[in-house]
Amino acid sequence: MIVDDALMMRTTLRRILEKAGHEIVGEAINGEQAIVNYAKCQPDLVTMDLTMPGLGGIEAIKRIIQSDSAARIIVVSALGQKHIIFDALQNGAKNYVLKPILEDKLLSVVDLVLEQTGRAAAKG
Amino acid sequence: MLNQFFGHFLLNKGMLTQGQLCAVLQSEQQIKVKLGILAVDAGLMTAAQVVRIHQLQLSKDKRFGELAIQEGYLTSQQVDRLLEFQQQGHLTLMQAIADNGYMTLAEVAAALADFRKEYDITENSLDIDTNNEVIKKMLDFAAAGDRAELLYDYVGLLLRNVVRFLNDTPFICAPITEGEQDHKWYASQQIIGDIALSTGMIMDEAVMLEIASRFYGEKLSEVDEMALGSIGEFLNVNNGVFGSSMSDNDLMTDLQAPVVKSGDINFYATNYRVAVGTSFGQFELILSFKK
Repeated sequence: MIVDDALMMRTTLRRILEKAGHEIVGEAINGEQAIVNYAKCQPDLVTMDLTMPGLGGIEAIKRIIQSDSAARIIVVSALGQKHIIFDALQNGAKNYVLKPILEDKLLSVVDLVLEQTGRAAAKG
Repeated sequence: MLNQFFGHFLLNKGMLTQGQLCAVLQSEQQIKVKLGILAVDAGLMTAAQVVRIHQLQLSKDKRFGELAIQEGYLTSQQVDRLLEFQQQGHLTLMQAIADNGYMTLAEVAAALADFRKEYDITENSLDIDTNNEVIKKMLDFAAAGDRAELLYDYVGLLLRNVVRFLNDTPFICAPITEGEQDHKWYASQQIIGDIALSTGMIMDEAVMLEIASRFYGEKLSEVDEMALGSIGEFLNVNNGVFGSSMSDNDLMTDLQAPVVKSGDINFYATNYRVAVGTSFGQFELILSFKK
């Protein structure tokens, strides 16, 4: 599932992940929608933007982890948010990728998180 | 990297008009050494691999670097380095000025010598601007007091990111007079935390669409959610890099979500404006510190 307020980012992430064989089961444009859609779609993995209008990524991560402690969430964030990324990792995010998105970096982080959590064959 | 500063110098001295500089930058792009040649020269690809990418380009609307990464010939870091190198040659700018017939090669060479003298640039340092020394001579942020350095850093970074992400040669130019510009768009983002800086870009629709297209990597021909998001992300990525460099100085910052809108815009009373020209038109950078 892809969470980002910018259509351009959602499209870019979808294109990279689908090309690599992953299935996108849901999208969300803010934290509130991410929480609702996570419960509905039960994704194997979530890419989570941190800076979104309304409920931001950190709060969404906290609430998703509260409801599913095994949730696999990868933070997708701008470079200058190191301390906030640390906050996200402390709150249960599994890894992070920096914007602008580099295809090979994103895919290696996705594969790593799926492998580490026993879902290596999660591609749809 | 100093192409934009040399361009600014020529503008200021009245040696080129802004329109002529735009035309020069457009033709400069055409005479740039191709990425494939640079990759072969650097020993990163074979000639056969370059030919294969050129063949792929016939059927796919993708850039050389993108396909070279896809085919596993280059890493994205290598492509970034090659693109940076490709952008740096001030020689191509000189050639483009002469080719367009705006100045003779001798006049360009003389202007370059004057430029170096005026800005204390040695021959070897023409392609770098460490510590933004050249920008500091072009822009006056003295009114910002001890925060002026941050503004110089920000402008330097933005110019480098126009090169890096938009594949163009930016230059500092005279702002367009109010009313002359078409329907305006405004992209803004607040940097908060140890530094509270409001950042914004004002541009007309054509420039906005070109920036959005270049950053997204595909032609966007109308102002829709995709184009608005792309502009916002360009600012977001730029501000992210700025925040990262600030954290090296133990200043912690965070970013609010970028906002892109049209129509009348209200600014803080005190703001710092820098008009940035590119080969596809100009935008205005607006920075202000929150009290």
